[in-house]
Amino acid sequence: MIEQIYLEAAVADHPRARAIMGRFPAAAVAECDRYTEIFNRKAQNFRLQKRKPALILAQKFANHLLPSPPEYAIGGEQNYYFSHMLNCLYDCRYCFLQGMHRSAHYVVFVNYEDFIAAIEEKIEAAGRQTAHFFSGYDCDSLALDPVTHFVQEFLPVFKGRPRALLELRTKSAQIRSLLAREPLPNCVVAYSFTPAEIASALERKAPPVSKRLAALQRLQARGWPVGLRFDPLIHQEGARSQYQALFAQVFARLDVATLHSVTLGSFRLPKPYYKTLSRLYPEEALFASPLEETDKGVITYRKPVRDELLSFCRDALLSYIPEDKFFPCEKIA
Amino acid sequence: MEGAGFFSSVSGCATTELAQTVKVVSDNADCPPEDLTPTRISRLLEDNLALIDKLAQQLLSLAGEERRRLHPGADYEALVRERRFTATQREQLKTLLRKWRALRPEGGATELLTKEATGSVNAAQIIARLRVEIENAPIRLPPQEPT
Repeated sequence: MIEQIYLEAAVADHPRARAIMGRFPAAAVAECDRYTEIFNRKAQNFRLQKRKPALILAQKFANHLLPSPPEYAIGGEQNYYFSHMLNCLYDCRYCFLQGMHRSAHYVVFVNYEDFIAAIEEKIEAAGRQTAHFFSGYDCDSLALDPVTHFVQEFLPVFKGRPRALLELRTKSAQIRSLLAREPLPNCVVAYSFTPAEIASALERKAPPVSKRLAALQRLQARGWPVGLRFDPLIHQEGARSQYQALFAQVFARLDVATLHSVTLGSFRLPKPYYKTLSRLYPEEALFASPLEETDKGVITYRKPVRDELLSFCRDALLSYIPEDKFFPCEKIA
Repeated sequence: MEGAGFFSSVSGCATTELAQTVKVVSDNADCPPEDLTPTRISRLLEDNLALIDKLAQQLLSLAGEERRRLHPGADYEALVRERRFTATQREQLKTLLRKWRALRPEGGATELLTKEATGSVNAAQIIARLRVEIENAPIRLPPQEPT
């Protein structure tokens, strides 16, 4: 799977870097001083790189945690995100990462201990407030878990700290490490869904909706709090009936009583990311469809289309779940 | 040293995935440069020609894919042959035709917009018509092709 590894000299002897490299004995290894020598250099073609991404093992020196935008909150008073990894194994056409990074290579920051220290510090500083930590903004939380052992390393931090919560955001069916552990009441495994028709058009290399749902069901049966993320909502001919069918399929298999949260948000991209993506994928109907720029510099569906799909999905979801579990990412008209 | 100069120059013409340097090492601690002769240098390169050719073919294939992907298409060629488009209009036309193809993979822009079909409309009207067609096109996301 990985044929080329770039290794920062500073982490060459880090036990986690050694362990990860041990998973790819046939890969060629090249040492570098900083991962930025390879990642995000100018004149890189994300699309070409995505065909055969390299793995970069690096160290993150600062900003291990960043405040997450308030509209993405799921009930926490303080909200942070962190990225032990940049980029994703999957190739979802709507994903902002393709607009944010020039490289498709996977970067894994192996100094988990620094991320963990930063998380512990924030938990302490939050005092009596709840602090939520989101791990799946810049990567899929679980897709590379058999290699990175992210779950095994980070979950113990949250044990016995009920005011802190970790969200694992994923489309992955790699749940063995979670099934093998005792569930934590403050670790939410949140799956992203689009209807099967949209997933098959836009979510390349990601497990199909049926596999994600099966994984989610197994996790819930094992006692893990689970979440549903209908974000981004994608518009196409027949979208309403496709979302309705998806909701029916999901809620027929999940126990709403123990469901942690459901989020909902339109397809949207910062304008510079949209421009990059539409240049990368000019053949994609998603980027050719009529979109507009909001006053915040975000490219999204035109207001009538956006509002109509959002309110339809909100109403449909609220027929299955109570309002206190529903966290829309934007104001719904 | 020459490789660095070459790489720096070509990086302005192509993305780094398509700009590659292959080094044939001619001398090292075991083979001092004094031992190099024109014949030996020719043989060193000759021995590696198959490898260089294989790499070049792979890069040419990738470059060809990129060129085809970014080509404005036969529709574009047909339309600009028939009417006078300014440089700005040509860019607008390319963008709109790409969107057209994305939304209507079955094609049909040429049939809709050629002189025969549209009569005496000018370039600006062609662009306006294309805009309207794209606005009104149903959005159908086609299932991905297997990779």
